[in-house]
Amino acid sequence: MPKERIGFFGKILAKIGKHFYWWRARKMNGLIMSLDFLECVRVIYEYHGNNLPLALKTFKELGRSAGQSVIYEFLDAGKRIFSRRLQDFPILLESSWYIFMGDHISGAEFIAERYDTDEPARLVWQVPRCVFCAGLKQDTSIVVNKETMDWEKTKLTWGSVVCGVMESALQSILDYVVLPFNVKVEESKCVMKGDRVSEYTAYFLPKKQ
Amino acid sequence: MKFTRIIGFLIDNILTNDEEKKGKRKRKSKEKSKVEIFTGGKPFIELSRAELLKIKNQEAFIPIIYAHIVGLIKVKYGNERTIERLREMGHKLAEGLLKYWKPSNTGSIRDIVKETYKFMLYRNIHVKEEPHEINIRDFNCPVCYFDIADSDIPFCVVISGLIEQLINLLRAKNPKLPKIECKTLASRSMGAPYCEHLIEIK
Repeated sequence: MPKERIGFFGKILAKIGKHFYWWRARKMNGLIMSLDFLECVRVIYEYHGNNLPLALKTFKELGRSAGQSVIYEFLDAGKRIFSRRLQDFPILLESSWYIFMGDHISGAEFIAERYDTDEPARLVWQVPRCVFCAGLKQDTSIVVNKETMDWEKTKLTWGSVVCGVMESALQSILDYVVLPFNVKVEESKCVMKGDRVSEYTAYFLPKKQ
Repeated sequence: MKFTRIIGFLIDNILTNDEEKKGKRKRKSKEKSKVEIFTGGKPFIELSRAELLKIKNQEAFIPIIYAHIVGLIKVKYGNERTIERLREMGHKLAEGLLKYWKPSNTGSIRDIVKETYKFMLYRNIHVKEEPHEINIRDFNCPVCYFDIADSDIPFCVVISGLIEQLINLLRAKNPKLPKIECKTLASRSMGAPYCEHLIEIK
């Protein structure tokens, strides 16, 4: 039975647990991870006839599948801290981000829905040190910017794989704690589209009855 | 609420992964704290590839995403072209890697392979040296996803491509290094208990 609130001990468990899982995890150097990511996108980019938006869309789908596989392994451990309160999600997010990236996110914040403007509830977080975009501006083999990503139309960015991973991970948690929402994650700010910082937004859209 | 934050802050400080942050953090003004706590006193930064050398990530997603990509391109290109493309991917990885990092000991192929694995994956690798060939056995291949053991494509052909190109490019700096060819003999993605690469000295 999922908890209603994460509670004091849940918060402490999340804080300690993330360090334990990170310590146990098999690690890879950030440079090789970033280069590997670039080469994976390049394979998909060529697969789609050098169409970057389509490649990023496929990559988001791949991220969704990867997120499902990985979160499935963590559901059992995570059930000790999962709660039915959306306001607790920043704590879950901070812990899971640390487990996978070994780095902290900045100011994860839950923003409640607004009935006057029809804005759904959302979770916003920033990544101070984005490993995916690192050095990409100097790499001319793939031109990545707001225009080539067709951001205005697609809202897809270089970090679309992260959006896919987070989307399926958050959705799995919501389903596990039986909350009637669908999650949609967008990288609302991306260094490669000219922003100063990488920022992700997860929208909690009420499920239609 | 405040007490939980203080406990959390202390845990993060004691167990932090970031060397820069260890012992250096001080509480500053409330307005600055959000940014400064998480970036070690610096503003948001756009990382360069050279800075990535100091950063560790978990490798969990790499084999899963890689497995999906192999499945996808196999349908379009067929097995032969897919293997060729994966080797090319390994070559490109080696070229990218050498722009920012080089093994410190380039005296022997064995040392290069061991140091490269240590740098990339923070672990040792089993390398057996014989007169005209070197055998590498990896029981925890970073690209062979544990859920797939019945593929007809050796996923880790990208690793043999990387090793081959890395050593052949290092020959430019150290002409004593022989020209090599690296083949994948066994792969966990094809059901083998470990991944095995053979370096043939030409």
